[in-house]
Amino acid sequence: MSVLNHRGNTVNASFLLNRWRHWLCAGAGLVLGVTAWANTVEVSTATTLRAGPALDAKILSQLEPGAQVEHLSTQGGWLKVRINKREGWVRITHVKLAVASSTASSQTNPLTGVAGLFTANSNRPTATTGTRGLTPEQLAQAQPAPAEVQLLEHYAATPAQAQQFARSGKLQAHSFATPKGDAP
Amino acid sequence: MTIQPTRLAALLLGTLLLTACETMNIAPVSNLVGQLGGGNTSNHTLDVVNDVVSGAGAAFKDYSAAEQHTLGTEFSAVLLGARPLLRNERVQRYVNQVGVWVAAQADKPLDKEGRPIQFAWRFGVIDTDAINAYATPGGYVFITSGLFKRLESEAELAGVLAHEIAHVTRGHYLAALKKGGFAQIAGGVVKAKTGSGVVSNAMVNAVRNIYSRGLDQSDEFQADRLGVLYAARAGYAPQGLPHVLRMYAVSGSTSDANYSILFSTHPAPAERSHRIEPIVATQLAQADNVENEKRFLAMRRQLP
Repeated sequence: MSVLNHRGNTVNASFLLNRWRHWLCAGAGLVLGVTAWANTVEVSTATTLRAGPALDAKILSQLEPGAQVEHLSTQGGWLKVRINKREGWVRITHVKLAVASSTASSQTNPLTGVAGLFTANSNRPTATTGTRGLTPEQLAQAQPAPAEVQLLEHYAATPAQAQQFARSGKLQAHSFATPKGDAP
Repeated sequence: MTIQPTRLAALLLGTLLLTACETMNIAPVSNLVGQLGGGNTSNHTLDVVNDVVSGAGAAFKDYSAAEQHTLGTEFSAVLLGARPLLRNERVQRYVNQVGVWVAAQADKPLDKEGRPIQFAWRFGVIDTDAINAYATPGGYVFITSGLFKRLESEAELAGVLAHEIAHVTRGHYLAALKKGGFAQIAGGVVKAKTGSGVVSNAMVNAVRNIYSRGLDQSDEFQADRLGVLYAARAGYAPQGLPHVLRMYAVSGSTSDANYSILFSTHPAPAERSHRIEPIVATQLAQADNVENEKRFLAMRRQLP
C-alpha cells in the first residue's frame, strides 16, 4: 500500500512505518528524564512487564492484549508504566498508538506528542515540537490539578497594579461604544 | 495491475486530508466527544436557532457570581491537569497586568439578581507548545506559552486575552454547559460549594468535553468583535487580534498537532480576520496605536 507524503508523492507505507518508529524512538529519547505522563495506554500485543528498560531485565509479569497501563515516562524504546500498583517497563512497540485514522491531527502520537513527522511543517524541529503538546488526547485524560489553580493566586494583579502598569505603557482608556448587535 | 487501486487509495487519502483542512478537521474531536460521553449531538443549525431564541444570556443568569467562580476553579483544575502553568513568575505577573487592565474595559454583566458581577480575574500561561487560549466561567483566562512565543507585541497579547475575556463576560462557557446537557452537573457543583479541590468525575468529564468541542461558532465570532473593542478601549492598537488570526491562517496547519484543538474548535482564522478587519478599520478607526513591543519582547525572551 502507498500513501501520500507531504510533497504529494506516493511512498511505501512500510518504509514510513519503519521511519516513523525510528523517529518515535529518537523523539522518546530526547525527552528522557524531562517529562512524566499519567496517560493510560493499551497493550496491543502479548508482552512482558520488566523491571528495567532492557530485554534482559527481570520479568515482573505477563501482559495480555487490551490490558490498560498507566504511562509514567519514556526511555528509548521503552515505556515506564504502572499496572495494578506495580511499576515496570514495556516495549513501546507493544502498545496501541493512535495513528489508525487517516485524518491529519490523529497523526500525533499520544505517547510522545511527536507530530508532523512526515506531514507539513518540516521547517521546525519535529522531535521537540509536540513533546509539550496539549492534544485532544491529553485533554481527554486530564485529571484535575487544583494546586495549579491555587498557584494562580500568587500571580494575580490588583486593579490598581494594572492601572499603574497601563500608565507605564502609555495606555489610556477610551469609551468606544458596544455595537448594537453585541449589546449585553 | 495493483497500481490503479494504489493510486486510487492515495488519491482518496489525499482528498480526505484536503477535506479535513477545509472543514477545520472536526472529525477527530467528534470521535473524542463520542468516547467522552455526554453532550448532545443534535443538528448544529437547530442549535444556532435555539441560541438566538434563548441566548447565551439566559444561561448566564442561571448562576450567581460566586457560583460562576466555583465553576471556574473546577474548569481550571481540569485544564491545568492536561498541562501545568509555566513556572515563570515575571511572565505570569505580566500577563495578569495586561489581562486585568483589558478586563477593566469590558462590559459588566448582571448576575441573576440583577447586580453587576465583579469578576476575580486570574490569568495564566500554560506550559505547552500547543497554540491556543482558553477561558472558564467566573474569570479565569489562559494562554499557552506556544501562542505567547508566536506573538509580536503586547497589543496582540491584549487582543487574544480580550477575546477570552469576552467569552467570560458573555457567559459563553455557561451556555456551552447548558447546551452540552451538563447544567445539572454544574448545578450540583455550585450547590455543593466544595472548595475542597475535589472535582467530581461527572464534572471532569463535562469540562473535558466542553474544551474538546469548543464553543458555539457564533460565540467565537462575537468574542472576536468584542475582543477588538475591549483592546481599543484599553488603549491598544485594535489590529492585535486580527494580526494573530492572520498568523494562524498563514502558519497554522491542521496537520500540526500544536494547532489541533485550536483549529477543531474555532471557525477558520481567515474567515475570522475577514469579519473583524472592517470593524477595526471603521468603528475603531480612532483607536490609539500603542503596541508596546519592547516590553512584550523582553517577556517573550523569558520563555523556554
